[in-house]
Order: sequence, then C-alpha cells, then structure tokens
Amino acid sequence: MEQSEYWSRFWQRRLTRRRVLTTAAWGGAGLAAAGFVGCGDDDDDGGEGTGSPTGAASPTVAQPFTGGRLRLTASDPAGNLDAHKNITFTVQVANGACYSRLLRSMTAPDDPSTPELDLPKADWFRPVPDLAAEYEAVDDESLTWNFKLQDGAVWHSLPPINPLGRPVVPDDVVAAFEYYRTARPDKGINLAAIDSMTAAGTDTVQVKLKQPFGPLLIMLSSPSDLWIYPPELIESGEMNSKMVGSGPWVFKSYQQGVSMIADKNPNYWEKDEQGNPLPYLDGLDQFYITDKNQEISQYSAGQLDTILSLPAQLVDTVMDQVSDSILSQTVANLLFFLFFPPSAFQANKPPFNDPNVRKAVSLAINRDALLNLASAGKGGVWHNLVNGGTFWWVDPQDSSAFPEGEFFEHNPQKAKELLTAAGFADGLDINLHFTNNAYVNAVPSYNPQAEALPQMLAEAGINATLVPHDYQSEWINPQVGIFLGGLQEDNAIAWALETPVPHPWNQFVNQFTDQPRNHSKINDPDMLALIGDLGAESDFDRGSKIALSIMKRNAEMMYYVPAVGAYGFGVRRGWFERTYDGPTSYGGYTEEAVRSQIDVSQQQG
Amino acid sequence: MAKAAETALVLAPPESHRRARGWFRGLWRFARRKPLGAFSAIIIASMLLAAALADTQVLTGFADSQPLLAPDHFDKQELTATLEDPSWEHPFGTDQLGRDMLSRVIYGTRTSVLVGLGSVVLAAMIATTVGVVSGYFGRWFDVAVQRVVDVWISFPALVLLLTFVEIAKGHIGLDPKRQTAALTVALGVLLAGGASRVIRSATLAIKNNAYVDAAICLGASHPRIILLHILPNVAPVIIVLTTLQLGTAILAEATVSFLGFGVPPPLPSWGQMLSRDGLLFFRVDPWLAFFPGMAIALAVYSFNMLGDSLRDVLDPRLRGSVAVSSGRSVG
Amino acid sequence: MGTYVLRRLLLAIPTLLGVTFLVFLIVRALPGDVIEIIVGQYTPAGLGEEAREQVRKDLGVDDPFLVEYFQFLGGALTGDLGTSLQSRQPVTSEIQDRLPVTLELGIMAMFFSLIIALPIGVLAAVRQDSWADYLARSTAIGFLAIPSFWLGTIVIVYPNVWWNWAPPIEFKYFWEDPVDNVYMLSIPAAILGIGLAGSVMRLTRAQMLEVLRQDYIRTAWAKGLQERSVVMRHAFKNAFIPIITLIGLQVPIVIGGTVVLETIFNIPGMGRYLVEAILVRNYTVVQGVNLLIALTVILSNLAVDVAYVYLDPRLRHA
Repeated sequence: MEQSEYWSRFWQRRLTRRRVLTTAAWGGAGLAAAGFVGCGDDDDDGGEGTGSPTGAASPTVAQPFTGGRLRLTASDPAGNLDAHKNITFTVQVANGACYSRLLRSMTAPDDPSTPELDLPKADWFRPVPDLAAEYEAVDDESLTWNFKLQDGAVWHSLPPINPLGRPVVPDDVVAAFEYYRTARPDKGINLAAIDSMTAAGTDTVQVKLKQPFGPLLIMLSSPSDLWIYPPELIESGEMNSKMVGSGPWVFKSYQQGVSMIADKNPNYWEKDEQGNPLPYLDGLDQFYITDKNQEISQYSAGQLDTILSLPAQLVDTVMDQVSDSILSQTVANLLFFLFFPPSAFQANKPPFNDPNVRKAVSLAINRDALLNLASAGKGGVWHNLVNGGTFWWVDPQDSSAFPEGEFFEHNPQKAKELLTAAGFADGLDINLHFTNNAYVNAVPSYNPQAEALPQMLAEAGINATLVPHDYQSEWINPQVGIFLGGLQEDNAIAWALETPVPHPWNQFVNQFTDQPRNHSKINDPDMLALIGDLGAESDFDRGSKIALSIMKRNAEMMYYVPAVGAYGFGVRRGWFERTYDGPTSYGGYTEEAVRSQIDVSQQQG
Repeated sequence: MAKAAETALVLAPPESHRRARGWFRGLWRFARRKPLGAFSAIIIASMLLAAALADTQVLTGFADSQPLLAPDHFDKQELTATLEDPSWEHPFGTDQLGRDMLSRVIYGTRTSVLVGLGSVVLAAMIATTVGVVSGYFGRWFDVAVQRVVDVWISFPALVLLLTFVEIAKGHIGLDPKRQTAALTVALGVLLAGGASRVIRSATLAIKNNAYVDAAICLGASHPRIILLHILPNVAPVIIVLTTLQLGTAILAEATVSFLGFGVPPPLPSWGQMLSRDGLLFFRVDPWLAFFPGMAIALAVYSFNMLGDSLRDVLDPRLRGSVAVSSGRSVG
Repeated sequence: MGTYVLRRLLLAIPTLLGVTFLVFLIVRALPGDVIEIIVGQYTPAGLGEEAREQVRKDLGVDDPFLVEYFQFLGGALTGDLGTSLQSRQPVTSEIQDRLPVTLELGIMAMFFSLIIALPIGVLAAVRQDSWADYLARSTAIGFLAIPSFWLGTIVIVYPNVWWNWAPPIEFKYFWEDPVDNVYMLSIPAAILGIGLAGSVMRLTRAQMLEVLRQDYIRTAWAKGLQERSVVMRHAFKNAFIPIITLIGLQVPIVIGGTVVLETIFNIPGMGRYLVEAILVRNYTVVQGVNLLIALTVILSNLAVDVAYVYLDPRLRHA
C-alpha cells in the first residue's frame, strides 16, 4: 500500500526512547495501535526506533481494568448537538463521544509520574484511523484518495437508524460530507479542496481533490470539521437533541445545564492488542458544572474522576488536598494575540498602517509578565504566529532560528523610538477591545491579561482604554462582531484568542484569506502565495520551512501580535491511572477515553 | 458627614431647629436610644467619605485624580506581587494583577454609593409621585394605577433587572459609565414599584385626617394640599424606606455583578471583586473575597439597621408596613 | 368571604393581561439591529433575507403590533411560548421540568426562613431592647446582608476542605429520588432562607410588639397566665396572620434568589435557565421564562390573599 511521502517523513523521526519505555511499561496496552494497521509500509526504512509502535514494545501483558464510568465536567453545548450548525468546541467535545470521524489524532498512554504530555511533539495531530481503517492515495499526484471503512462499523441501535444497528456504508459518509458542506455557516471551507466524495464499492469512499492538498489527512481528523452523521438523523431534524452515531459511546441522555450521559458501545469496531473489546469503561457521565469551587469539591469528594481544566493558581492547593491526584499538563495551543483594524490594511489609515507602529505594540508587551500572570509561575511558551502547542511552532526567543524574535522582546524604549519614527512622538491614544468574562471558566487567564495590557502599553506611550464586549452578540457574531467582523475604529486594537486547529495551514487560511477569521482583513499577496504553497505541499519538512517563512513574514509586518501560551493543567484521581493524552482534547472522548481505564475497586462515589 | 447632618435635621425636635446645638443634642439622644442605629450611621458616614475622597477628583472639581484616602490608584498593577495575603504594605492583600485590594475596596465604595444612592433617589421620586397621587385621588384612578403597580411588582426584581440591563446594552453600547447609569436607572424603576405601595397606604391614612378635610373645605387646591399637608407627613416613611432600600440596591449591584452583568472592568465594584477572582481563588486566597464581601455586608447591615432605628424614632406606627417592603428584594 | 375571593380573582385578570403585555414588550424594546445579531448568531450566514424572515417569525415581530400581541396572548393561553432560538425546541417543553425545581427550592427556602425567623422575632419582641433583642436582630439582619453567592461559596469550600464533603453531583428530580432531591436542594434552600429570615424576623418582632400592647394581652397577664401561654397562645397566633402577607410578597424575592443559588449549586431550575438565555440572547426563552415567573408570583399572591381572609376570623365573617 502506498503511503504519501508526507507521512513517511513523519514516521521516521517519531519514536523516542522515552516513548518506547512508556509503551513497554504499559505492557502494550498502549498506543492507538490499531491506527497503524492500515498504514502498511511506512516503517520499512529502519533507523532509530523502527517497527510499528506496537511491535517496538515488548508486551508484558497487563490485564486492563474494565468497567466503571468516567465522571467529569465539560462546557455545556447549550442545547445544540449539531457541530455543523454551531461551530463551537462545546458541541465538538460532546460529538466526540458518540460520533466518528474518518480519522482521528494520535494519542499516547499517559505516564502518571510526569505531568508533561508523553506523546512526542512530532506525533502531535498525527492522523490515525478512526472510521476509515485504511487510506491511500491511488494516483501519482495524490489527487484521488481511497478510504476503506472499518469492518464491523455499525450505527448505534437507536432510532431513527433504519434498520437498527445497520452497518456504516460509504453512502453514509458521502451524505455526511454533503451535510457538512451545506449546513455549515462557513460552507466547509477547510475541506474546499475536495472536489467530490463518492462511494467506491461496498466499503470504500473515494475522495477526489481539485488540487494537491497536503493537509488533507489532518483536516479529516479535525474535530472542527467532518463528523460522520447518519443520514436518517440528518433527515429527522433531531440533530440538536440527540446523537446517534458510530462512535465508542452510545448516547443515553442530554439535559441542558445538567449532564450528558452515554454508555459504552457494545458493538464498537475497535479492539485492543489482546483482542479485548473497546472501550474498557462502561460509560461516560459528563456534568455541566459551571462553578469551579463546586467542581473541585466534587472532585475531592470522589464524585468526579478528573478536572480537565484547573487554573494554575489552584493546582498546588488541589494537589495538597487530594493526595492521590495525578497532575497532567496540557500544551499551550490556544493562540492569544492582538489584532488591528481592517482600515489599516484596506484603506491605509494611520496609525496602524505603519508596520513600525504595530511592532511598537508588540515591543511594549511584557510577555514574561503575561505568562507569569496566566501560569502562576508554572511556565508556558511565547507564541509565534503558529501557536506553541502545534508542530511547526518556532520559538520566537530562539534568536538563531528566528531572528525576527527581536520584535517580541519587551523593549518599551525601542517601542517609543519606533513610534517617534512613525510620527507619534507624543504617544498614541487607542481603545483596547476585548470580550468581557467570555472565557471565565474555560480560559480564566484571558480577562486578567486584558486588564494587564494597558499598563504595559502605557510604558511605551500608548494610552489604551479598555472596551469590554459581549461575546455572543458583539464578538463572534459574523454579522457585526469585532472578532469576526473587524474593528470599526482606526485607533483601536483588540485582544483575542483563537481556539486550536490541528494544522497551521488551517490557521493561516483563516487569518489571511478572505474569511471571517481574517480579523484585520489583511490582503498580502506574498503571504497568500506562501499559504498556497503550503496547502499544496505534502512533505513535512518542506512544509515546516514554508511555515517558518510565513511566521517571519508576519513578524516583519506584525499583522498579528502573538502573545503567550501558559501551560494548562488538569488533575485526575489515582484510580483513573491509565489514560491517554494528546495535544487536543476536543475529540477526546474518541481519542483518549476509548482506552482509558478506571480501577473500579478504588473508585469512590 | 452630610448624611449625618441630614439625619440630625430629621430627628431633632422642631423647637430646636434654629440652634446648631440642638442638632448635636438630637444626635446624642438618637445614639443613646438606638446604639446600633448610631453605629450604623457612623459606618455609612465613613462609607460616604471614602466614596467622595478615594481620590482628589471631588476636591479638585474633577480636574485631577490623585489617590487620596486610597493608597494607590485602583488599577495600579504590580505583576510580581500577585495574590498576596494582607501585610503592612497591602493591608487587604493584592489581587491577581497585584493591585492593592484596600485601594480597590475604597474606590469600589464609589460604585456602590453611586448605584445605590442614584437608584434609591430615583425610586423615591417615582414611588412618591405614584403613591401619593394614587392614594390621594383614590377611586377609579387609584384602582387603575394599582393594577399597573400589580404588574410592576409581579416580576422578581433580579429577573427583570437582568433583562433590562441586557436590553439596555443593545441601545447604549458598552461604555462602562453608561452601563453603570443604565443599571442605576433600571434598579431605581424596579425598586419604586413596591415602595409606591407603602407610600400610598401612608397617604391614605393621612388623607382621612380632619386637617385635610378642613383644607378641602377651605377650598385649597389639590397640589396645595398634596404639597403642604400630605407630603410633609409622608416624608418620614420615604426617608425610612429609602434608607432600607439602599441596602437592597447595594446587594443587587453585587448580585448582578456575580452573574456577569455588572460594572465592567477596570472600574472596581465590590460585587465584581467578590464574584470574579474573589470566588475563583477562594481556596488559595480567601482574603480576596473577604474584604469586598465584608464591605457589602457591612454596608447592607448598616443601611438596614439605620433604617430600622429611624423608623422606631420617627414613627413607631410604621413598623409593620415598611418592614414588608424592605430588606432583601434582590438576590 | 365568597364575594371577596371573587373580587380578588377579577382583579387578577387585568394584572395577568398587564404582565403578558409587559413581557410582550421585552422583545419589542430590543434595539433595531437585533435581528442582524440573531441572524449572525443562530443561523448559517449567507441565507440573507430568508434567515431574517425566520428570526422575525420566531420572535413574532413580522405583523402589526396588536395582531402580534393577540397572537402572543393566544399562544400563552394555549401553552405555546414559541421556539427556543438556540435549541429549536418548544420553550414550554424546556420549562416544564425546570419550573417545579425552582418552586420546590423556593418553598423549602421559605420554610427555612420561617423556622429561623419566627422564634428570633418573638424573642426579640418579648425582650425588647435587651441584649438578646440586639443580638437577635443583628444576627438576622447580618444574614440578610451577606451576599448569597459568597455564603454559597463558603458552604461549598470549607466543609470540603475540612471533611472532603460535597453535595450530590447529579441532580435528581423529586419523583426520581425524593431523598437525594431534598438533600441536594436543602443546602441552597437554607442559604436562601437565611437571607430571607431578616425581613420575616423584623415583621414578626414588629407585629408581636403591636399585639403585646393590646388590651387582651394585658387581660391575659392579669389573669395570671404563664408567660409562655401569653406569648404563644394569645399574642403569636394573632401576630402570625399579617406575616402570611409577607410570605406572599417574598415570592418574587425568593425566585430572584434562586437565580444565584441555582448557578452555584448546579440546579436545573428556571433561574439558571434564564441567565443562560439572557447571556446568549435567546429572547424567546427570556420572554417565556419571564411570563411564567410573573404568573407564579400572581397566583401565589392570590393564594396568600385568600388564605389571609380565611385565617383571619374578622375578615372571614365580614
């Protein structure tokens, strides 16, 4: 079976020593081994750590824990279970339990003794099979792809599936793709390179591309994009109130503001290496608890198995109080940044039409102080245009790899000089827009960072007044919102964050092409050319070089001012020792929870 | 101070009006009879002082705003000294951005006093107009007006307040000062409904007095009777009611902030300090919630206690009727 | 008494109409660009006029004013409160599970407030201006002054830090598991009750003072009855009747209070539902919840008034 060069490059440098060790320690129960079945010949070129990951581990077979229910909190999808009609992470998280995608992202068994992510960076967002067991390009230009569906993949035995529990057939995937393209407000722009999706035989879906599209596989694994919904459910008009899919968990109930309950899918296609059926757990209980104190109390009382997102300031106190807690650290893949008004780029309006003024803003920001504020001294990264939690990120503090990082340093003096050179010797009065309290629970550092910015900017002579906005109506509203519609004043900047996308290409397309998420309505032909090249590139290293050029271009022009990403933290109880982690959690119920194990004999509550 | 003087004016027996010494005597008598009320009056006076003199704005006619009573400006951040416990340098500790909490609590007084006083004065004006006119004219007019009041008080104030604030946002935008103003007006209108009922009953009681009948017989006009005979006699009810409602208004502002609809940053308000970082970091730094929480509790306690004491002193007969419409009507 | 009840019922009709009209005005008071905002938020972009049409239809703002009002009124009478803009479910069906929860919480809170306030109020009156009076009143008003969300957080955090305690995580309806249900609701109900107790205590004290000055109490003392008998049998029974009125007036306050406590304690009631709806500009839900809450208040006031007349013999025979 032919493997695209893109992935074979990936394969060659992935298996670190540490990973082999953790895999061994887990007795081969680990790794999404099934994920490699379809990838065939990718490992035949030897080298360090070759062989399939499963093979690399000498399996000292540990009996998996089975049974138990995983109890956790999440953000409430607020009455919406259709991830296409409402493109937000809350719905995507919920969908991850019950629906499949064609591919999913790789995860690794989590080593409980260290908080860091155990999946090597080179494997972040690496696509592995989900509903598609095998996939390959069938022509030389990689324009036609075949995706062979899993044997034994069936729909859940719930109405309106007709007949109940019928197999997933290629036509279902085609219908789901059709729905994806028509139902979404963005018309499925991320997969616009797909010309057609058709059934090819009884178990294969054929994808034809309009042009070469390097990110195809990652984009098919993205929880923000193609979910495989059954045609019966799409037609029934009940997409919002229930989930009937082919994923590892069978939907039981959803009550807005209360909970989403799902049981394990007894007919799930996936098996572990010993042939045990997956998932190991009996079910998922997801509670929508909005009060952090309440969530921590529930956790310490043993009524929750994990807290997925714990503010850094609270980590020590929770670890102290609940002594069997296992700490895990998540990568910083929320891109915090500042953006400028469209008028600067569209109509050449001062002050922000001048790159020097934009650079002055960047130089005024004290990134270390922002990082400390968000992480309570527990660390993080300086973002580049590519966020610090994604492959291809280049550290702006690494002056040899990224000399343009000089514009990321905290240097109010230089900022003043640049402002003077731009004709603003007396400083600048601006408004600083942000969305107030929108992320209090999910991203508690957003608001305090916004409040910290004016004092930093003032040091460089930029006098910023905070202007708060309502999230739903004034921020992400594509008609009139600042985040998606752009700033309406000339003397204004905005403080924002982008939720992670699995591929930097996706983010560049959002930020620089004719898209709502091109927040500043930037139109730079050089940048567009680079992004076009990147989209067509299927080689990982060459892609990485193009991405670097894009980051350099951004730093020179300072279209967006990237800020910092603090590490996120989560805790789980000792009995929830065996789990998986990866750089994204949006599809986590498929990727991580399907192999998670709970020691029922220890579990409280 | 102004507030204490006003209180004295009301309390002092009529014959000592002209003499300043009489004020002090009246105050002293009040303090001896109502120690809790006097204690509350002192707290309220300090609160008003803190609001006025947090910085030099009021003294300099808004030309300058250097911190005066507050050690620092409310938004002065020190990102290396965050979430600190109380110390000599920061008696109330610091918040997540390293801002001095004492300064923020002092500045926060301003928001509470502005929203509280503003809304209550507005409520008193509306309630007096509606209550007196409705009670005085009576008959079908009264019946009709009271049906409107029925509707008015059928909505839980907090529920209607949230709805109002959100609708107002769409009209006035997100300027913090205008939002604070909108909150004040909405709260004032809401508090007026119940208050107008109490004032109406007081008006009804007074209307039946012989001297009102006499004035009517002498051919006095309605406005004259209302202004000269009804209003002065309803005034004690209004004063007591207003004092009690100030506590309600301050709690309401705090509650609305907790639910995320309150005064936007960086303007400090007690409710906002208590509800955001204050509650999020409660496990690591309970002081963060303690001081703004105590400020709210103390203010509400004082207005209620003072209101009770004033009522006992001004008119013991009012006990029942005013109690009904006072206390906690929001949150 | 029959005529009184009848008159009271008749008077409730204009109030009900007024309430529906005010609720109806909520959506009409929205700024003009709200259609654009909602279209942007809830429907796929690019549908243009078609989407706007749908939003106008959902909000019921596509007809002349009076026609709209009568449509709204008709809908309300038949239990049709429109469709939630967000979930596209009927508002009525989303509310029907939540209303009983809020009512239950409210009734429990009132119960708590009475068992705290009545003894303290009676004690404060009997020992007027003593240290016990000051202490009792200070405590009651002190509780009234503490923001409920602060008290709620203290209750969530400290027992947990000390004893690893937490309330049950999963909400159970009364008909599913009465024990769990009452256990879970009793904590926020107690917090809410403590806050309400201040006003009830105050009125109890005032009424008791009033009654204790009456001639028949003097007679009772003169007969040489014991203090307990005078206070409880003669004075309190009479003082209690006006307190019932206060309970009626507190219904809106209680419902307002549940908004906060439902949020902290994760209880799926009306209050939390409303806050969430306001935050995402789900105006049909805002409209429906406001209407139902107002109806609840009017009906409970009606019930209290009727009970008052029934309990007071002077009025019953009038």
